[in-house]
Amino acid sequence: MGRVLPPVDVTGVGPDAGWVTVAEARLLLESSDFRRLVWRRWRVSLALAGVLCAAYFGYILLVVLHPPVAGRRIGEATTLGMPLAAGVIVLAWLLTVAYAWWAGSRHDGHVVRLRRRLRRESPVK
Amino acid sequence: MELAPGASIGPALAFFAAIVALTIAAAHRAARRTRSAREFYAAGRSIPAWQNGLALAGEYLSAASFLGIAGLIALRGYDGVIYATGWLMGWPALLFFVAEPLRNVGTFTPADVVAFRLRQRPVRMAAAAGALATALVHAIPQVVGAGTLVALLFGIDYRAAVLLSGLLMLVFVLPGGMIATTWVQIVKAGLLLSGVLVLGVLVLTRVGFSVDRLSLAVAARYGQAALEPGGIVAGPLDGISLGLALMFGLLGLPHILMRFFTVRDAREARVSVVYATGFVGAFYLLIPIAGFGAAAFVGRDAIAALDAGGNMALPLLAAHLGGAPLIGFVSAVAFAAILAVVSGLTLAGASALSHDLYVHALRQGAPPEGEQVRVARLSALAFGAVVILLGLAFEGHNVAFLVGLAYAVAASANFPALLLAIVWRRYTTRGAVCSIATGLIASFGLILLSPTVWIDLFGYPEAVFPLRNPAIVSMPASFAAGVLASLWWPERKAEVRFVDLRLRAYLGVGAE
Repeated sequence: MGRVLPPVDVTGVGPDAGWVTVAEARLLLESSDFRRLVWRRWRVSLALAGVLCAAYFGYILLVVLHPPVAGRRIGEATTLGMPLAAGVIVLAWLLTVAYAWWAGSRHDGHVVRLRRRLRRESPVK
Repeated sequence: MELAPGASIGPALAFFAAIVALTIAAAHRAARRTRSAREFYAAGRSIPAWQNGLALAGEYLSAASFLGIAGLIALRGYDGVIYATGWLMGWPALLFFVAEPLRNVGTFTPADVVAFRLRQRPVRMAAAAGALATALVHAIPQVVGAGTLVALLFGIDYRAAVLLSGLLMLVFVLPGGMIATTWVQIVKAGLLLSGVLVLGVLVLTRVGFSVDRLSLAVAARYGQAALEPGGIVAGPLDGISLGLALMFGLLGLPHILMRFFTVRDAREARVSVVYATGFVGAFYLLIPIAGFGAAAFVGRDAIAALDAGGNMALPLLAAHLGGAPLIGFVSAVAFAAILAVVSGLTLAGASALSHDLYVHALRQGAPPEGEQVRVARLSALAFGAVVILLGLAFEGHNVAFLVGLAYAVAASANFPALLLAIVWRRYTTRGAVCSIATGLIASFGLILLSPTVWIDLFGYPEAVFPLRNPAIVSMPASFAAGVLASLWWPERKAEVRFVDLRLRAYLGVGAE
């Protein structure tokens, strides 16, 4: 249990941080803050992945099981299938934007806050 | 204008020479900066997110997507569009499931993450087997495609074409490693995107920028059926199985995953996926316009006459719209595309050989820096030589199914091991080895028994396994094997070290 992890730059300003022992790390990992961080990260990921799968596999099942729906004309010759396919592609990209936005505006702040808690009381110089 | 083999040689060579010169210049600059393993494998972790996004798109968009999917849309109509859509779906999944933890936990290869808290030797060997199988199976159709295409466009011999593309690839990869490969990918992605943009815009100018009038032109020639879903997907199970392979295969492609080690931190890794998804998505939005344009203006008979698979649809469309200069440009882009994908795969194969097998399995992580780089270059040479030899051996064979196999192997052998290593506390060494082995055996075995090989290649009347893509069976089988073996043979040490992995994966503590 006394094993030490590599030196950690928790301040983000340079290699002046102390060493973190596994015992200290375990304390942090068991804190409700860290658990909430991990849980939130996967909840957001799985929700967005769910939207992606619903859209893509829904589209595939639609064109395989009910081809007339996608084959319906919406212009002189253009079929509904074309905007559907384009919509799935655009939605997939928007989901990555949504995740990056969430992670950048919410998640990263919590990560930095938790990392600070790993800082030793006395800096090692 | 007419398109005869070798007809476009002048402009094609000019464009081609310009592209090669540009990339060699970039590679040469890179070579002077490539001294350490960190530089050879990971470009010194100095690539900005937008450049890595372009490079990821370059790595991903093979000639199969540039020429093959456009040809499929030209020949099969809306069915080709259905197929094209699936190729983007892996990118968001890559971001949601692995990109950030992969960057935080690993150093050079995905196997770093799988083996992080497990026994190095067995896991490294299994993971390297998965990565090598994927890279090889993926590279063979690229080389065969390159040979066929170059032979057709420049009017030279297939073998000369394969040797030329193989040697050029080694010129980029050997001295410059990841920095050079990154520049090859960026140049290639830029060319590919501008190529499809130019073709798309030229097609749209012909129809007054109205997609409906383009549809009308296609329907006038080949009936309304060309714009409706037909029979490309044999059934719902086949469709879902293909979708699973495309979606989760990306999360197991070694040449894509190793790109995430070239950026500074997890945030840059995340942003590079957003860029990559944007570039790849734009490509798949434009490619149907070019494909339908080829059907409307060139015609299916003319396309199929040159190549039954439709690979010549875009060069023919280019010839129709812009004459010799444009077809030269398109051919050069296609060739650069194949070259770049093979470069990336060679680097991925070389890192599995040298970093996973030599450094970690054989020398137990100990060899000095200089030796690591030397072995990495030797591995690239060896892997490249094997790919060239296989390319020569497969002359004239239909190897298109190998692309599907590569995705099935990646989704079944590489991805489950990576995901379980990141999220599951009780994952063990035996679990990792069992899940990789199961994924490899199941995906190779089932594709042999599937209609793709059993009927189309071996000529038997009925397939033993009914689906064309095995992922829907082989991927869950691999997960099940990993979970069962881990529960059966618990590993206390791996569970204790899960603490380190979580600190690194979620907080970036100790990440390189």
